[in-house]
Amino acid sequence: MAKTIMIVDDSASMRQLVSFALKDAGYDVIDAINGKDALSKLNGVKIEAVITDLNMPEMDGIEFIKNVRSTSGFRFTPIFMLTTESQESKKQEGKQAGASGWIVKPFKPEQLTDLVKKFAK
Amino acid sequence: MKIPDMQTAYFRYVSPINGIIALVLLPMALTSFVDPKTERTISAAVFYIAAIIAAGVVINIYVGRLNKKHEESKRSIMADVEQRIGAVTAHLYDRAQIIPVLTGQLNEVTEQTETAALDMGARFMSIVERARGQAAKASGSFSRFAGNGNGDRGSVIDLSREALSGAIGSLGEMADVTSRTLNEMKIIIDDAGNIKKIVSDIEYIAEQVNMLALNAAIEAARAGEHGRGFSIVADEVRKLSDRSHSAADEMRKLILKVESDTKDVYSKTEKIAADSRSKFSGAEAVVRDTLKKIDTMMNEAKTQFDELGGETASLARDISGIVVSMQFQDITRQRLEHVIGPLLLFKTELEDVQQRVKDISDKMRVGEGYGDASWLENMYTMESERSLMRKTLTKDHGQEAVATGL
Repeated sequence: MAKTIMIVDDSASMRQLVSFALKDAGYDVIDAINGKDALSKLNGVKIEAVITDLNMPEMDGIEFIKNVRSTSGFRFTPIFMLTTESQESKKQEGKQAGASGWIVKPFKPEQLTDLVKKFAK
Repeated sequence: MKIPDMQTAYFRYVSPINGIIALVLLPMALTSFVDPKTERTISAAVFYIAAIIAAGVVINIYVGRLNKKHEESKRSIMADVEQRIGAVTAHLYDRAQIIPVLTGQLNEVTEQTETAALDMGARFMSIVERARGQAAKASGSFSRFAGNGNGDRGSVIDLSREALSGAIGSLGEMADVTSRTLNEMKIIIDDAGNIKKIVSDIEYIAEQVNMLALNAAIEAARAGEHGRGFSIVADEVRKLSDRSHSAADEMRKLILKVESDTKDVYSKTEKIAADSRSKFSGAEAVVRDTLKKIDTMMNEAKTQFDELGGETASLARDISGIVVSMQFQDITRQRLEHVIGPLLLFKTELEDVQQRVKDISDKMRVGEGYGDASWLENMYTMESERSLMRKTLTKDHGQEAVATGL
């Protein structure tokens, strides 16, 4: 059975292409349009890793990660920030919120899948 | 910088001089009643007073005219300033109204490019999936046709190869059987020759027996009555000899016919065998050549299929790369958002500036050219001056002056 990865991004085209890369690597994908939507989809689902954007309406990536880390069963789930932000301060903010890794757009599919394979064992 | 008007200048400079002159002349006028000698002095004082009053009147008239002229000039300047401010605020308003149009355009561009990116992504993914599906289908068809290369039998090519090999084997077996048949027939022909020799021997024996029987009959006749019984035996022996000779003759004919027929069949069979061997050799060469060609074609086809699979995988990778390159759409969208946000902020600031300019213009209009009159009020030292200023402003502008707190 394929492992499931959650992708959280307000951009439909980004969700589409990340899903494409992950499905191509053999993963199942659940997507969400922002942090709030993603939290509502976590219940009762076994998720191996989460890939989230930073800047999103309603609930941004940092707030989402904090919520995930306080959710039972997701304290140690790998969470990767996928964003155009490259400021060190933002990285630190994400790390302090509980992010496991950081991928800056634009990225190659191998970067994404290698990172997911490395963490989502 | 605030410039004091002519009325202010009068109150500041002319009124105090009049006051000083009055303070000097008043004691002089009072003392003239005590001393009659000072009548001329009083007359002179009256004259001075009259002259001073006249001068004051003239100065007041002059100052009034200057003041009026100055007010007209100020109104003209204020009107010009107000007109310019109006133009500036109108310009600011126009520019501020353009910003939502620009941001609307940018938002629409973002939405359209997002929709286009989604559509392109979906189409590219569809191409990849179809290419992979076609490659897998073609590979499956080829495997069923040519085998999967793992030694598993059952493909069309394997079955054809076995059938052809079986047919060639059958032809070979037939040639072997024919060859063995020819050998057997040769033996029969040789046996027929041997039988002919035996028949000759039988004929020779029969002739000798016949000669013996004839001699015995001659000797029996010579013996007379005593030889009669022997004569009968000799006759029977001669009859047996004749029958032996006759049987041998029949046998010779039969053997000759068998030999002839066998040789005929042998000849025909040998011809067929030679023909079969020739055809077998030709067919075997053709089949082997055909199988070799099939193997070559299959290898080429397999190579081409492998290349097709590689090309398909490469195509899928390239298209995946294209799809991933489309994340620049998201980057562009965010950069546009970073333009739209400041533009909207800029609009708010423009509107704020416009409002501030308008407020200044309103305040200036309220002062009918005096603007913010608090500086003038602060400058006045006498309540009468301040009272006059308030009275004037209140009379001219009524509720507006009250509204500004003056």
